Amino acid sequence: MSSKLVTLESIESAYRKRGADFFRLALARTSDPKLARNAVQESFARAIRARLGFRGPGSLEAWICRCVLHATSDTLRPAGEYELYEAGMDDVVWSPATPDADVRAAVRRLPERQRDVLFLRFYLDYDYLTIAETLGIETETVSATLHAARKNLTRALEEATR
Amino acid sequence: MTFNDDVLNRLTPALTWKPDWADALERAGELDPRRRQPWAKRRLILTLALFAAVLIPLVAFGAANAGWFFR
Repeated sequence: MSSKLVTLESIESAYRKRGADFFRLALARTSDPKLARNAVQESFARAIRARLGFRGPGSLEAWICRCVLHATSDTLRPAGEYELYEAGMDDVVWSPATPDADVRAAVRRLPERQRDVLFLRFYLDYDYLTIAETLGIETETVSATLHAARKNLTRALEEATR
Repeated sequence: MTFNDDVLNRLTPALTWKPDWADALERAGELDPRRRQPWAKRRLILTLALFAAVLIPLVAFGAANAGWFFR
């Protein structure tokens, strides 16, 4: 595959346009604003460092998204361990409500692939093709996985409300 | 019950994200040294301004008093 031209400006543009969405994705995976912010910043720093040798596969944004997923893969916390970081988080303003414990528990029970597909669809508004490109799976698999994720999450939330 | 994607909003409470591109650049080791040390330039300008503020009135005062300090 031929090398794609990735400039600092194109990375900055992606950062300005998508930083908030990546942050939400990272936050959904970590439930920790500090970890989420760090994951996004480090992912873009990695993209900056590697921009001259970037060869794909896929788009730059999909690659950065994979970096965010990777950076947050080991930081998933069990439900109930949610921590609210307010001190020193001037750039993160929380609403009074904390994340819904039932939703967190239900999402955590999903297989990681289902969770990732759901998050990419919802938080980044990716279409099936982009999700497939980001996760390195077939487009048909995205459709089936998303369907299963919604079904499992619905079932888990129903059980939680009984 | 039909699944509503909006339920995922309850996973990430409302918040604001303030981008910090300079931080990303710094982490990547790409920050322009001139931007990294903005105070160095400012300090030089302040020092020069201070010298000028002292020297100009002194010379003017000396000239007005028949150049006493040149003798």
